[in-house]
Amino acid sequence: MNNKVIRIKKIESLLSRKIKDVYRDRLDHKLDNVSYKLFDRTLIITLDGTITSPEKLLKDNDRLDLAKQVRETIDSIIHPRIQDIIEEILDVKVVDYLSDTTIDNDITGAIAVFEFKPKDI
Amino acid sequence: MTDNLLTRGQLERKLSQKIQAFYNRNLGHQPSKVTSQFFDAKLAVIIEDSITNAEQILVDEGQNDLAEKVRSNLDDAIQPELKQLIEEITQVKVVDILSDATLDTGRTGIIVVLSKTPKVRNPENIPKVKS
Repeated sequence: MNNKVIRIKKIESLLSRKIKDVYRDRLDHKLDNVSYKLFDRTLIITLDGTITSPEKLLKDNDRLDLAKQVRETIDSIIHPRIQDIIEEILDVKVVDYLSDTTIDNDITGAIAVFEFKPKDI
Repeated sequence: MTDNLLTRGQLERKLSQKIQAFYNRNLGHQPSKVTSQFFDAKLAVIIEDSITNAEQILVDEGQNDLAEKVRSNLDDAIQPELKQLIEEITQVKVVDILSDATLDTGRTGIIVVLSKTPKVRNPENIPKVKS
């Protein structure tokens, strides 16, 4: 493996760990999987298993609207932290952060658009 | 017959063009640029200049909450047809669509979860996600 590949693998591992830590520390919740893809100056992240037990319970008891409100608030707190982690680890400025969660499929997707392409990646 | 299949790049460009036309047709507003990227069994679409003039007026008048509500409702309203369009072009079932827009930048980002990787002439060119 060349240095670039090693560096990318290190970044990916650090990103996954830190994002999982945010969910664990703030929500006491374990994510199933974090995956991502970097295209030029865009990072796409998908988080599997983001929905917490209380939200699932609300959904299963016909309170989907309330579950959506809860999720919107949770995402508004968690996502700025994820944005900070991306900026810190990739040494970039995020100019746009777009994210959405679907409760039914228990998945969150985010697109971070950088000001410039990350250096050395 | 793989000869009849589009390459990954051709399929991505076709999707971008059709989505641009779809926004124009449904919202009366032509986004300046649409980019599509496959990765594994997912598709990321970034739409630049996606906000309509009506929403922009709301933002300019300080009605950001209303503008965000309008955008969220517009996204929900067009999603079934967008899903159908993507399924027709990729010939793959759409499992989920995640969508968000920023009014300040006018950018919309969509992640489409597909049931499988679409068939293209050069499947090795579709990157695998890292997890």
